[in-house]
Amino acid sequence: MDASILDGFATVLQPLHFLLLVISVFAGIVIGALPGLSGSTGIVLLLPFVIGMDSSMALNMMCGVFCGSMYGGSVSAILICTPGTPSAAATLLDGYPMAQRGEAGRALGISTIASSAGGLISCLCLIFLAPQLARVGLLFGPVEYFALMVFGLTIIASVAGKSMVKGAIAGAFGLGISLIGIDPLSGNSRYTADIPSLMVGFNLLPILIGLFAISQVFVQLEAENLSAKPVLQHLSRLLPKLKELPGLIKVIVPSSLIGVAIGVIPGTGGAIASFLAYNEAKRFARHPERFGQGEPEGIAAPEAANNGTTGGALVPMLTLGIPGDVVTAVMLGALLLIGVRPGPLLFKESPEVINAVFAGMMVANFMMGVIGLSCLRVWPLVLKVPNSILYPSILALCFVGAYSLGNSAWHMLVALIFGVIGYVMRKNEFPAAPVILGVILGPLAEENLGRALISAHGEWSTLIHSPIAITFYVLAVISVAYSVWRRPGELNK
Amino acid sequence: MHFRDTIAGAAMVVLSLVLFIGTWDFSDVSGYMSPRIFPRLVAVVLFGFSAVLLVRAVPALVRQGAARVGIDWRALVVRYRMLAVLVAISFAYIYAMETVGYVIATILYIAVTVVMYGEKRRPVAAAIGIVGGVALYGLFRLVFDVPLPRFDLF
Repeated sequence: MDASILDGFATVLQPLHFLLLVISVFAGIVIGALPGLSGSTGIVLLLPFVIGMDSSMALNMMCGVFCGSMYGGSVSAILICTPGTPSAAATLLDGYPMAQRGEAGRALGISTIASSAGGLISCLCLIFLAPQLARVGLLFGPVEYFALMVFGLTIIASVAGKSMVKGAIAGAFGLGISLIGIDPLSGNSRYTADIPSLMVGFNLLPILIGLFAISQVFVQLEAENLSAKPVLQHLSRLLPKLKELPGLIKVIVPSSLIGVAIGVIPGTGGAIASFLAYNEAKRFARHPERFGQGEPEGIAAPEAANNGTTGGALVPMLTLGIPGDVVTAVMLGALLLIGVRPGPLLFKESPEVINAVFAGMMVANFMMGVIGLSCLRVWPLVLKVPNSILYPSILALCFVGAYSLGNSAWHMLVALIFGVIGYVMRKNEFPAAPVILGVILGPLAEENLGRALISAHGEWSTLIHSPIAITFYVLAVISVAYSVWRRPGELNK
Repeated sequence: MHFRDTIAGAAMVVLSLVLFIGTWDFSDVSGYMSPRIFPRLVAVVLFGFSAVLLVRAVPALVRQGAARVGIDWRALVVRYRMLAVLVAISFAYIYAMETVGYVIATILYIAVTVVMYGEKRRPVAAAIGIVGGVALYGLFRLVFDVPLPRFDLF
């Protein structure tokens, strides 16, 4: 193993670092298990705690929540037939029938092993792929970066949810928000309405808190069925039989690789990967007719695949600063807040952070398996937490988190306003992730466009002279075209 | 949904116009990249997609019969009353925190929201409020050193 990655392990295995990583994995599993909360909400809730921390520790905690929440979604899918996260939707197809047969413990055990193995395989792919892509990224100048940002903005089409047009509007709304404040190139104040607090623009944290956490709490106020009913059975036989393992491994390895491949493609995510892996496992199964009736491979395939996307999604995010899915979009914003700017320069200037992340992801996925198996009897209790305690606590945590950013009530106010905006968006089926992409990528696109034009003495044709830039424009067109093709009739709806 | 889309589309068209018109106030001082260019680009994109949303939603609304799509204000008030109260309480919490201090404001805020989210036993709600308020204060003030507002008698 590379000596530098061993350095990463030395960092991650320091007692405090390790403890915080374990806590974040546990918290991620709990958040993922609770229907209505997702990995993106988990990372937003984690932010107040990690601001001011050592960047590699903060990044690893986010990765811990990311991996944990991806697995946690399967707990509620198996126990209450409600996927905690969209990525676990395929797991319930066989997980819940197995639980209904009185084998909830076995279903959770298979899900835990597959998730942990999928995550570990995806880490190995991350360690191999990310440095190669980062090397290419070092060749980029402002022209290439502008083209990359254009490509990044087209991911909006992929994370748009039901309607691409609404996703695009949300993205443009995010770009509009990013314009507020002082223009970095000219020093002009824009859209500030002479309000001093707006001179520096909106900070990302209150926007994240409002759009992803507070709005979700508001939505839950309307939910009629507030408490989930977990499967009430004694969980026994948590580990699969030894003779079952070869069959499971045959499914876990290819499903994990499917997850990695899907995760690397920006704008995809765990939900697509898990259904694709489920489908492939069923296609190659000796008894495909048993799928949907509690087949172990039907649980292992989607779980290995959705955790396989975690390492894959981090590849474009860490190397190019382009998020792979909604959670990494939120993570990208969170990284900027803690002073880490993902991109090829991060690999060159802060290799110790990257190595710690690689090692941290490995440890997080391994510990996810350990925690998952040792706490299997705890998860049904997590699902019993009354919403009357859960959501008010989240709300209070959101506000204190927003306050802690600048020790000012202004950020709380901004979080509340974006909470209301997020609620209105959710009720009208406008996705929130494109807003974040717009807020993050907008200033970067403008800055690099400005630099490119200045270095080319105002010649706009410079934007299409670079082969790398042209490649990104082509990818942008393909990204939009693919999204339209994936949703036939979208433009005519 | 067509009615809501019409309202949303119209609101976004207005916002895009505000963004575009607002650029006239920016001084054009920077050599090759005017501070007006990017905001105008954003405004045009926002206008374009909002117009698409409107073009789709309005004819569907007309087909439905615009007269029958009137707003039932009473139903709307009933449906969103709780949310309006929660938002109002949250605003009050933010402003009260500076006056009565973090702990008292948070205890009251959590206790009230616990009741709103379905807890019927008031003493339990109060207990959750006290535990939550004190725990958050302890964590952020003592562990993370965040100077949360204190109750100041003078």
